[in-house]
Amino acid sequence: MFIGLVDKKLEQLKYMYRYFLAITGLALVLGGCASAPPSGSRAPAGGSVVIESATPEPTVPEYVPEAPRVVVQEPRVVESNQNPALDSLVDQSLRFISERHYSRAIATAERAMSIDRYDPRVYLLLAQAHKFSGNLALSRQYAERGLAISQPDTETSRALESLK
Amino acid sequence: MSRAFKVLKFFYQIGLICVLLVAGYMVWLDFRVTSEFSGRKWDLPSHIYARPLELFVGASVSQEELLWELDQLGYRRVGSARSAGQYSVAENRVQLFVRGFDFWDQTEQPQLLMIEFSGEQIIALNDANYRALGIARLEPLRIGGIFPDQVEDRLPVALGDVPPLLVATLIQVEDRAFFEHRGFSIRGIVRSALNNVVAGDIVGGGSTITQQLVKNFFVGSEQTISRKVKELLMSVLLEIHYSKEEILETYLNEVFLGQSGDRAIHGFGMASWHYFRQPLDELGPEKIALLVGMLKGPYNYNPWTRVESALARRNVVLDLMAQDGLIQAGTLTSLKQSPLGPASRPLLSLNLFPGYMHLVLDELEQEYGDLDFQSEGYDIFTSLDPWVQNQLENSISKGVESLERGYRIDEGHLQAAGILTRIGSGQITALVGGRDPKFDGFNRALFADRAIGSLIKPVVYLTALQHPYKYTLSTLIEDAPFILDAPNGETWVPQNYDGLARGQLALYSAMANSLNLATARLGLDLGVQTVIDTLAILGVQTDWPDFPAYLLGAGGLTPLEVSTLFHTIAADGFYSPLTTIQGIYDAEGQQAGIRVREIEQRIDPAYVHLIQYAMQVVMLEGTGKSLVSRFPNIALAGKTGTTNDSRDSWFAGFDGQHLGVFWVGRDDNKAMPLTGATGALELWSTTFRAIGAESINYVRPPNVEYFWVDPEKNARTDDNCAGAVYLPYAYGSEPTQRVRCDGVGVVEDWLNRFLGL
Repeated sequence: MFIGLVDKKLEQLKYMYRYFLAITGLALVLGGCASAPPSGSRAPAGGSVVIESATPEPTVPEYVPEAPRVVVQEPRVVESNQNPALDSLVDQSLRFISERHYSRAIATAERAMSIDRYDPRVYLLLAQAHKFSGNLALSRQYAERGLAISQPDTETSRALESLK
Repeated sequence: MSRAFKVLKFFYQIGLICVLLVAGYMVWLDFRVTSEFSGRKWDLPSHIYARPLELFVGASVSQEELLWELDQLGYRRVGSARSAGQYSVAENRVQLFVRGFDFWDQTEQPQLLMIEFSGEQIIALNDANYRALGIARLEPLRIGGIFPDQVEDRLPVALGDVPPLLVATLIQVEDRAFFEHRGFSIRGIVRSALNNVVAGDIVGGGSTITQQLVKNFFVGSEQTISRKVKELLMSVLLEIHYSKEEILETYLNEVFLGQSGDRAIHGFGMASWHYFRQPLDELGPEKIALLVGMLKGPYNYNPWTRVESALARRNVVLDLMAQDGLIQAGTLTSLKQSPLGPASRPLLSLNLFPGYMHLVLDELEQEYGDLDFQSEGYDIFTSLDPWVQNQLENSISKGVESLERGYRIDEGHLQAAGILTRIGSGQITALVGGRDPKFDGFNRALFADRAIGSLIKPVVYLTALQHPYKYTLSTLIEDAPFILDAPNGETWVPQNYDGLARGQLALYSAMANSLNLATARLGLDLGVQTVIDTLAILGVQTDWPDFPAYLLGAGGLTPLEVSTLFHTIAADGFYSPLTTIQGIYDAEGQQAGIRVREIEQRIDPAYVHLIQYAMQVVMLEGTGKSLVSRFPNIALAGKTGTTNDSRDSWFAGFDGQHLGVFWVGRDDNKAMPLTGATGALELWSTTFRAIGAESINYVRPPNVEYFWVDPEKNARTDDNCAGAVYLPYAYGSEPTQRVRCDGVGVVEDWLNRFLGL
């Protein structure tokens, strides 16, 4: 009898647990997933009235998404690059900046950009050259561009940050 | 006063009047000579250049591409390159003597380069002493011009830059006494007068170089006595005011040497490029002989059309050169046996790349309208990549024919357009406005305003992803049918392309598979106007109404506008205006107009990173997956677009270097049996295979984190779970729920185990 009582209690507990799961699930659907457009045949709001679909529901095929093979790269720490062409253009552009030939510095940095547009040094050069030639707004934009691909807390990123 | 005195006085007065008249006439002639001959003598055409080819280790430049470019630039293949303009080839190595060029940032000197290739890449770049070089570049190819009203094309050269052999030959053939006479030659005039008497007509001849110049510059070629007198007087005046060197230099640049369509070739500088695709200083004696010989009659001795006459005339000149010791007698026989050697085709027509040039001219007019390109002789540098342009033209012209054959479309009805843009800089590198790329007709790339279909979807999803706490790539959205009542009483019943509905699925999957129902629901939740606003943020202003159908691409854009919007996406959210012109320099080499490359962050790179992810899934699993086998191990991103009844086939996609936007359709807007995937995508694929695709640089922005996720549950899971995907999330927006590999929630699992269930 005791065992029967325990079984009964256990059944009650299981029932309560399932009820709890159902409530939790519902709460999740209404809460965490409420951002998704509502399911069913009613489209999201937006000032328009949606009526029930008059057409029969089409067959829903079994849809099993595959795992995409997208490869992501980490932002580079580019205090030095392994590309001699890029390095030589970066050096040249720096030299032009030091000689106050800003339009040449920009042209050279743009050549560097066409070799590797994910090297933050290129944007640092462009930001500096535009700043020194008086185009502060464009300088800030290039600084933002460089920061978007820079590893934080590097020499380059700090220099870019100072130009924002 | 005697009668005789009166008569004498009368004649004296008449004589005085005559002298005054002659003096006045001479003063007038003198004024003309000095005013027109001083300063700039011609309206100089402006020349338009392509981008210079950059050479460096790791550059995606194949040996084939380099040799093609060298051929376009008129480099000669020799056994061993010893001077500028020559190259030699040995297996995968090219020895190249570059010409040098005065670039906008610095002057490149002529130098010998040793280049080694592997596959589609340069793997070694050394100088003549086998020292490694960082980077080198070829001079840019001249691709077109803007000409004066009389369409005279010339490339002025200074006398000091003209080969001495050319000057000597010219004087030998045209005017032996040039440095002795004072503008005319009595001997020459007597000889020509006798010839005219014998012929019974004026058959010309006898003019000195100075007289020929006066004829070209001032008096024209009419054969009358008065003109001859005027020519003589002006020649004397010219010699009084100007040195022999000035007269000779002007003659070298003025003389007419042929015609190319509407374009008149003037001067030896341009003639050298026109006939041989080489600068003057690279011409050998046989080519100099031909050009000098052609002065007698550029039409009669045209090396392309009058081969035998040209050959005979050239050899006459070579004989004269040998007689005067200008060339060694021993070389005469071999020189006379050498072929004429003109280029395979004229250097440039008036419009070699009409579609691209259309955009260049538009840009010049809009942004540099105050410059006089018809007469000031500007050099205009563009971003056109001739190799890429060539591949694009081939892909479109052949691809359209192939599509017509394959899908049994009436021949000649299908049209296409394509634009390739360098990502980041926004430089347009190639553009084709129709199936016949050389035809200067309606430019569909710039003006065909066509519904963009599903190309709008990345804009819809990007709008959603900018609300990271509401929408992420794994947010489950509903792909289910619905009917929408429009305010005008009509109903809108969107459908998926295959008529099926997928139910609930992850947001990135809905985009990858271009699901209309899911997109329409999502777009309505966001608001049509919000999506149109995102389009404007990406760089394309429209006057689209906020009708729901615009969420599925009912709105029209040109391929150029589509390129603008996708360029902002490909450039990680940074907008740049798409441009062709990089810089403009005047005839003295001074910067006249420079393109300040604008850049502006329009959207947080984190959200663009997410949409780029979805666009990569399009190419791996969605409507672009047919390219996986054609571009193995190359990461690409893109989106197909098809409009109602397949009236328009679009594809916008990018690799690591280029964004390519293609459109295929009919000018009459009729239906065709093509989708974005079967039409435009094919042209994109052919083009990118030809130019060599590179994987996109998919760099994680600092404010993006990746998590393993069960896409069916929108919950984090373990990396070893079947079906788990590694998805990017804007910082803090990742799912909070965790599930096991079997999809059971971790909390649920713990409770189950606790309760022994």
